[in-house]
Amino acid sequence: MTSSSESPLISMRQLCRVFLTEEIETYALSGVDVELRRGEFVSIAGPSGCGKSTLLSIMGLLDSPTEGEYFLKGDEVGSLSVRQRSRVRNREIGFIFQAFNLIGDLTVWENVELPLTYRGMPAADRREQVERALTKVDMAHRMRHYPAQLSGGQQQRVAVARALAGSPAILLADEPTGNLDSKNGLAVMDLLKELHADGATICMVTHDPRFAGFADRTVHLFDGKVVSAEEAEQQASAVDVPAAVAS
Amino acid sequence: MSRKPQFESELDDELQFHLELQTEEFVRQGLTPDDARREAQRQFGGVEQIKEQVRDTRRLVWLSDALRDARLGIRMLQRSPGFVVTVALILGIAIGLATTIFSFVRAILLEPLPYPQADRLVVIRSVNPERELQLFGVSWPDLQDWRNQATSFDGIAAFRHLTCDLTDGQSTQRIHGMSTTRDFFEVVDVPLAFGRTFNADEEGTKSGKLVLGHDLWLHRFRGDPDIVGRTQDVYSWARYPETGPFAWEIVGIAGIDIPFLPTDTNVVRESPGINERVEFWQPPWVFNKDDRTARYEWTAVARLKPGVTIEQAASEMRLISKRLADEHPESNRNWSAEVVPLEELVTSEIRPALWLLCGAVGFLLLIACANVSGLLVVRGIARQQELAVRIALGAGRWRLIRQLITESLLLCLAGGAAGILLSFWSVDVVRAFAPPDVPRLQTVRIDVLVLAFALGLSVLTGVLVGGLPALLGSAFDLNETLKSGGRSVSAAKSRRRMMGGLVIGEVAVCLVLLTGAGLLIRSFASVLAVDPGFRTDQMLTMTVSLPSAKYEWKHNTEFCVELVTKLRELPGVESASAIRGVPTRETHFDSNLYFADRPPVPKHELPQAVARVIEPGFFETMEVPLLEGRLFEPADSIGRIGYSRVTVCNETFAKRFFPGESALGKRFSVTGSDENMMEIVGVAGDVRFSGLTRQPNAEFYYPEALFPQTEFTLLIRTAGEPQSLLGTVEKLVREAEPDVVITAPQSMDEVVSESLSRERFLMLLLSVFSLGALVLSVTGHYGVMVWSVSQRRREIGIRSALGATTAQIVWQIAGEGLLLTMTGLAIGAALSLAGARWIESELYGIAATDPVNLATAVLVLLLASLLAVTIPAIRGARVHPAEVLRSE
Repeated sequence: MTSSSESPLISMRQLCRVFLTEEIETYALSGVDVELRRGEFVSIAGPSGCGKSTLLSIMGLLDSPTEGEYFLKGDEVGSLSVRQRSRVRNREIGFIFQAFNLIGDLTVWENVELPLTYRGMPAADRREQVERALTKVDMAHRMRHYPAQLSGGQQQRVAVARALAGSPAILLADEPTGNLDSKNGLAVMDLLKELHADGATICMVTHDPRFAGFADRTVHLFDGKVVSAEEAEQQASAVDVPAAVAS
Repeated sequence: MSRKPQFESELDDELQFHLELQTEEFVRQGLTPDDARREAQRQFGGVEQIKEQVRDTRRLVWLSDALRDARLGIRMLQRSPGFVVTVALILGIAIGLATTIFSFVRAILLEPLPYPQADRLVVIRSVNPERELQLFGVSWPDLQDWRNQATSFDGIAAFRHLTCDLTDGQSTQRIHGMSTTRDFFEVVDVPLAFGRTFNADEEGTKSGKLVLGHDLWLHRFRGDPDIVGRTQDVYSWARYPETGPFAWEIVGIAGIDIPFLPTDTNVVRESPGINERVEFWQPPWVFNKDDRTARYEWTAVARLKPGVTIEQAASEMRLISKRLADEHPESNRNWSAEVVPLEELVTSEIRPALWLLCGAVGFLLLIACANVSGLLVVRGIARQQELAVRIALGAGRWRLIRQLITESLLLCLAGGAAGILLSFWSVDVVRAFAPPDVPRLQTVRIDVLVLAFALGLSVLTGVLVGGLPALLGSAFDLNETLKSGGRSVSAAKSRRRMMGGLVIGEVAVCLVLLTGAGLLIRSFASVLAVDPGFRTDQMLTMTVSLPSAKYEWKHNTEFCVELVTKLRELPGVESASAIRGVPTRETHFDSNLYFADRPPVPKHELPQAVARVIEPGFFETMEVPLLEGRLFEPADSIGRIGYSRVTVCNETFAKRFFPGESALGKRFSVTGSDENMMEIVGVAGDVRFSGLTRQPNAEFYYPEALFPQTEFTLLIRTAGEPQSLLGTVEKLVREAEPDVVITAPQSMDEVVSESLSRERFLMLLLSVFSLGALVLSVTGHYGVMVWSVSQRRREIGIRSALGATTAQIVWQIAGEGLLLTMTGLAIGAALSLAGARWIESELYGIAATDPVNLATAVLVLLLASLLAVTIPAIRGARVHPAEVLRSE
């Protein structure tokens, strides 16, 4: 499915993100190098506060790196203007959030249609794309419902449809099963796996090792740095040992 | 069938239950049921006493609950002083202005006139529907017929205004009074403190009797009761053509002071204002005892018999008029009589304006209420968690509503207190701008009744602004709210709908006010743009009155001519002249016109025009253009007093009576006698003597030398600032005649400005109200938008994450805000058009439904709303999506 000869879809080099709070610099990301190729399903794993969501935000152009370079489809996008970032986000990136983030006042159809309207797509094309996306996630029969009328699992499927509708270059999923029970969580993961099988590039943040296994590979983060699986395991076990016992 | 209140039924059941329990206990102890019941009742005590104790306790509980609510409310409000001050300011301004306007309405419209049973006092006036004439007056012979034939009244008295001058040989004092029929005191119910009124033989003669007004007696005669029966030297027209001081007998002293009654019948001098007190009464002396067409002479005031309605009296007077028209067709054909309540007549001029202001201030109050309601809703959101906890601990919904309304009542009472403070100041400010002829203006004050109104309004406002937020604030899904930390989705929707409704309402009401203010501003501009027909700047005016009948006619003319000549010689004076009456605020009487070489017409169909008496140099000083012919020449002023051979007419006169031909050389008289025929020698431009908003009358001019006046207005064209010459001119006038009375010394610009005081008053107040409404409405809309954006941060974050640009988000949010504005504008426009007729009577030169005005008001509000919605939308669109979504 992947080809080493192709240029990477996403390439991040020496990426840093520093948060300044009351004269204290907090390094959320520090010198991160990440590459994603087309068609890959990559999970980003790590303990809470390791920088997973920050990395995903920067990848989704919701945030900007303090230092480093970010190439999407070969173009440097880390330093784009607000307007250009919106445009790239709308066309190249599909988001799936932990809290679904559907708009309560809009129907299922309108939620899925929303990114296409921002793109200025003609109504007929929009209809076709929305129908296709909803059918794909098996939610076409609920198109007139409001989010509040759906279960959590159904809401997340609608969110996936919304992410898919604009045929983005990559799907970014931030803890997509975090708000779901295990059964619905598994169903959503099956859906992502199916999408990946159809050729979608997916980058997923999760701290659940069961679901990280659905990805082709896992990028481990610890204290804002990319570490190997072994290092991640060592650090995790070191943290797990109570301080009194360790000493 | 009466039903017992629920509480009483429950109390009965409760007591019965306890009684039965005790009875059963005694039965168990071995008593028979009857004995057990008796014993139970004995031990239980009096049922009614117990009931009363329970009721007392219940009342106390209610009171203590209310006090606890109030204490809690005060504590809650103390925690948010900024909120309290904001609300108190908003409501304070609105309640203060409403209280101010109410104090005017109350004093002017609601307070009865200062006469006993004033609601039964009416004025009967002559009307001619065919010629659309409404005269205050009635002729003496018609009056006698009315008095003899009408049965609806306890009495019909007649009066006209009069001035005379008291003199002690050293100085004179001008006093204003009435010439009245002797039954005036009974009809109007003016009691006498001392002495008597007039006898029958004194009526209709120049008898020289006086009844003094109470205030004049107190101040001029130091309240001396022995003054009755003594004589007082008076200069008066009553003895004309005799001149000099006459000894008049004071026959009575009025027990009270009454203000002048509205009329346009007066003798020789200008009518005093209806806010001035009557200083004396004289018996009537009649010029035209038999002339039924002399309807300008007397005003009839009558008192309705008890039980007789206005309609019944009016119907009877119409019948009598018809009878008189049949008997005297030459003079009375088409003339009828109208019965108008005195109260209505006194307030008829100002009433529409005051009701208009009431409506405007009511609208302003509504907008303020909507604003405060919005603030309370937002405050309710912050407290939702607290309220949910209260409900979880067992508080009922109505208990919460009561608590919330108590808080809003406290807030509104604070606003009311601020409003009362404001009104003490604003009453004086509004009064300063009010037209001086508003009746009872000086009696406007903040008293107990006005304070009670302010208090009532505050309480009403409290319920109004607190009711809906309380209902919304107390209605939520308890479980959802407790779990979500106070953010209930369903409650948020209700609130958003309510806030939207408030914005729509505010915009609609604001548009109505803006449209009204716009109409008045443009109307005022139209009036200012009216050409008065003369140059108003650099002109000093003052009215000069010689003591009544102190001198011969000839002396008066000589005095006037000499005075004007001296004025012309003063440094800084370019020219000077004089005229009877004051331009732009002149009352006038029409003269009948008999044109030469035209077939005679019945007297009641005679054309009419206004005669003006002027000094030489009038047209030049006033800069009134000569359109045709010539002006008066010195030779025109030579002749017999009361007769002029030539006249100059105005343009309206020429066009009305000689359409399509020149008026020059045409002849007419005002008496019908050939020897009084005058030839028109010139046509001058129109002068708007009756005010800028009134069309010029058909007028013609007499030279003063032939029609001497004891009262005239000096017109002095100055080289510089007119007021700088005031002292010099006054000194000159007083040197010429020490007993002269000088009134209204002011520039002509001031005269014109004063004549527009009513229009200016209404325009200023409505503009202030609508500006306040605009500020409140826009800030209210802004507040709602800020709140709405804060509620939608997550949604904005999602939209941004999905690729919406800043512009798309701004348009999304602002568009929703503008939709509310547009809805409000549509409703407001419909309301403005529907209510146009309420303001129509106050407009000049612009239609109440003027589309440009409405469009301008819509545009102003739209632009202001655009700011109100765009700023929060731009700030809202700047949220950092990653931060928002992370925090959610």
